[in-house]
Amino acid sequence: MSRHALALAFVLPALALYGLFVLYPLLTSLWGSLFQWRGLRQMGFIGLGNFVRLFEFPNSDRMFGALGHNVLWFVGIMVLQNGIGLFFAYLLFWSRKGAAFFQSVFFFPAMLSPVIVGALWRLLLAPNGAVEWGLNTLGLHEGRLTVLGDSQWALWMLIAIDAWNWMGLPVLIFTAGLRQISYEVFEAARLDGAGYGRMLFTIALPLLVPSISSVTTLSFINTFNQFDIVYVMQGVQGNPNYSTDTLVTWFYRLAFGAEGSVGITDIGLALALGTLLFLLLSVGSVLMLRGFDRLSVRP
Amino acid sequence: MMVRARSLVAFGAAILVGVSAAGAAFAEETVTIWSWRTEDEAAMNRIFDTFEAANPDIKINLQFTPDADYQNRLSTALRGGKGPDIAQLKAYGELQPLVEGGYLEPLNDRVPALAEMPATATGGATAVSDGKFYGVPYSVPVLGVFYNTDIFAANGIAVPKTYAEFVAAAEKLKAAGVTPIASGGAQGSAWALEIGVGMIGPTIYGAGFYNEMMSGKANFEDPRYIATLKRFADLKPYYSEGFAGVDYTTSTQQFINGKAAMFFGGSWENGSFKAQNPDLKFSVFPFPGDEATDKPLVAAFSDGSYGLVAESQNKDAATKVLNWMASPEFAQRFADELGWPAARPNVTSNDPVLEEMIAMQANTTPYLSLVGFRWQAPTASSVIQAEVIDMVEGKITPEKLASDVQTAVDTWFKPKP
Repeated sequence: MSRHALALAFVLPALALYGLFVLYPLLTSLWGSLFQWRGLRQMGFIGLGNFVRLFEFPNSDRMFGALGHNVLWFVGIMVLQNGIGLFFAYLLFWSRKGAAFFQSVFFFPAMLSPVIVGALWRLLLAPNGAVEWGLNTLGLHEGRLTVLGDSQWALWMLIAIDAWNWMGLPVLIFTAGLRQISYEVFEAARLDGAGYGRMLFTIALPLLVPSISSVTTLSFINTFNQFDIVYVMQGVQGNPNYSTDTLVTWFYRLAFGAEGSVGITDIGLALALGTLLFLLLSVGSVLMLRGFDRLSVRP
Repeated sequence: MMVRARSLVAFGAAILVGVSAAGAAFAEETVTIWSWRTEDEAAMNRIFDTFEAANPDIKINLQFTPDADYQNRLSTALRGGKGPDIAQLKAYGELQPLVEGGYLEPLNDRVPALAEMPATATGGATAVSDGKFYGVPYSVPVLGVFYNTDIFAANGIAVPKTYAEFVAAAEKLKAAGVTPIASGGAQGSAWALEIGVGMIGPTIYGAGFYNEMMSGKANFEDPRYIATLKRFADLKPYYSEGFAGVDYTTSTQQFINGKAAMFFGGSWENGSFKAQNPDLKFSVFPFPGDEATDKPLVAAFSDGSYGLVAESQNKDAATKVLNWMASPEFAQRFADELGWPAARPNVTSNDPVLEEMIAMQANTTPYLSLVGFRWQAPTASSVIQAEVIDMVEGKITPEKLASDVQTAVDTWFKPKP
């Protein structure tokens, strides 16, 4: 009992901080989403009124548009960042030479802030910029490059840049995961005549499920909270024509009044959106982790 | 020794008491003013030095916060009761939440001079809820075409009087290898393109259109508004190369560095162009309509105002300052120091560009999307800014943009017949 009390005493300071800076703001914003707001003032209780408004025109257009972009972003990151990352990790695993060096090379962009990465690529992809010059020299493109101002291309450019930015993370995690698999398993497979491809799909992948689980869950949370790269490269409105709008950029505009660079806020709507996003992320993450848990195999 | 030290202390205390007593008799009050115009800090300080010289009992403490953070800082401070005495306020729709929150004092009785200011100026500082004035406006910018006078002279081009002449001039410049119009709104700076649309509008839809829109006789799907959008898109061949990827900052640099001959913008560019390149020879002309006139109709709006914070502890001193800010003297100082058209007519100027803009103020109509439709979300501006690049690029038609704007404002806009 006294040990119990002692343990509690040790946990208490951290718990108090967590409660003050995480739980309390979270609960106040959940609570606030049930009220009507005028400007910055909380007015009367309206129950789920704000949530209903999220699904009405014109907000529904914004919400489903942004949600669609977040889903595409997640899919794009899974393929471009994690798929290719796994491939590189597998290559590094087999090439014992220079593995550490290449791992650092892949990890380098991840050390840069997404704000710096965004600003850098914005310069590179600008009309008259370095990428345009390169493509024109190679004869792959003609005239001015305007991908970031093109509503069909802009989102994919951003996803590719985000994947480039964080490629080092899956490489790091997968390499560590592969090294944990006992080498005898690969040896035995090789003696039975399995090639590298076969070994990847029948041995490495099933045994990598714990790593894949954490990478996928992290990517899920990060892509649905995507804000910084859009903010730096396309502005908070997800230009052009909302083609790069995400749930969090829309949240920002509602909360801080940047819809059309005009300071009209809609705090009630913002808090309702934040609540939904929180539910989506927590439920999604739990389901994902449990699903991957079932897939785990013990060699 | 000890005794002497003590008497010294007593003497010092006496001096302190004496000084503070004199201070009380002199009652020096500090009035704190917040503004988002960081780029005008030096000029604003010079303007208020004039006031302080005439009113030794009031000290002005000017504090600047960058535009991007200003609204946040102000609203947070006002909620916490830690705001300034006088705050620079955004105009029209953005002013309303602060009025509704009860953070501002009405100024009708405190600043009588507001009644004699032009309605174009005070319109942006009027509350929808009670129709009272909540701020002293400081500037009525006009929208026009900035042009590089050297490039025009070198190519033998006169200021165009009709739209046809304007296109001919742009064509000639393009043939000479000069970017005719520096233009761009990428990366979230599409407000600069909305200004282009707002500038062209009056020359097509005329002076009565604003009232027709307000009374519900016309809406955004009116052929005149669609023609405005179409004209903005028609000029694409003359905009900066790679238009869709060019942002506002890049386009201003093209004009400032003499790489482009024209720039569609508001009066405030005058000061910033001069500051960034003192050698740039430029002026401004009103965008021409189909028919030649001496005084083309120009879009104008109130940029913002300075209001009195309800929780201010020095209301009397602050009111004195606001009354001075509503005076012709302030308007003149403002125009001289900043090169912007002030909120009062009859300001004189020896800056030729500003003189041109003051002349343009003689025939104005409200900048439609800002003055008329920035009251509630979704604003007309938010739709125009989102879709305008796609429209110029030919991905969507002007009709589609117009109907999207109308659908958006229909959710809240109530015409007043």
